[in-house]
Amino acid sequence: MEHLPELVEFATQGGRESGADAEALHDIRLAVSEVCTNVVEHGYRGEARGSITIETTATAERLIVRIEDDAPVFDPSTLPAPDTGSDWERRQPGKVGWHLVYRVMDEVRHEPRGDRGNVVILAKRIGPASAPAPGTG
Amino acid sequence: METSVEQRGDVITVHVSGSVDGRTADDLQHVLSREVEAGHHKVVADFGAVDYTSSAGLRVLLATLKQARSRGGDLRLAGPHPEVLKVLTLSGFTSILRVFATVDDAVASFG
Repeated sequence: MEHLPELVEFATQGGRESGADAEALHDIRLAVSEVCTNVVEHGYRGEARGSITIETTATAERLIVRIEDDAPVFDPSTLPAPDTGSDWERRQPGKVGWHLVYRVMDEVRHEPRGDRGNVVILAKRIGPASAPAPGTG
Repeated sequence: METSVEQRGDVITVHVSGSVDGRTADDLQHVLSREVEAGHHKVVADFGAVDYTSSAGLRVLLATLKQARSRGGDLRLAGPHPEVLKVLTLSGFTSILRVFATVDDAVASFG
């Protein structure tokens, strides 16, 4: 977990170089932080060793962040929805992290790497494409 | 992340600065729990200098809120940046956590 800031900074630097605005940069930071934290805490179960590889690719309209790990295969789309509506006494904190990832990114895709390992691909619109698409206004 | 504690009457304000994420949330939990366990059940978390929080920070706020309310007090949040407020809203926290624009407002709300 001590390398979390470097991983997050690498991804947000890709966003900065692509011209992402402050809100988009925050969303990228949040999503990458949540994905990496889940890999460390649940995939690698807090063990000190285990790799996470991040690549960023920018197009004219989107920043793509590819996060790869060697943890057991886990498809986040199979998670039940988090508890975001019950009163404080019954509120449970779990599963909020992935919920936030799906809410702040424009696309979230998971691909297993054979029997072990995961690739999570996050996409965030940056620049002019964040405005309403033609014909929708 | 750094914290400092200020007492006004029977209200404790924990000023937080920096980022609250999977790496720093345990430290914040420790500070907030220590105050509640010491009998300070009316707690304001001053997030005016928090530039970012992840779900790990939300877990800390929920745990402290439950801890304080179960003892007759409350945890109230002051001054969150728009980005932090967005995370609170998306995760449904604004329905259970009272949020104020300033520390003074949050402290005064305890009456």
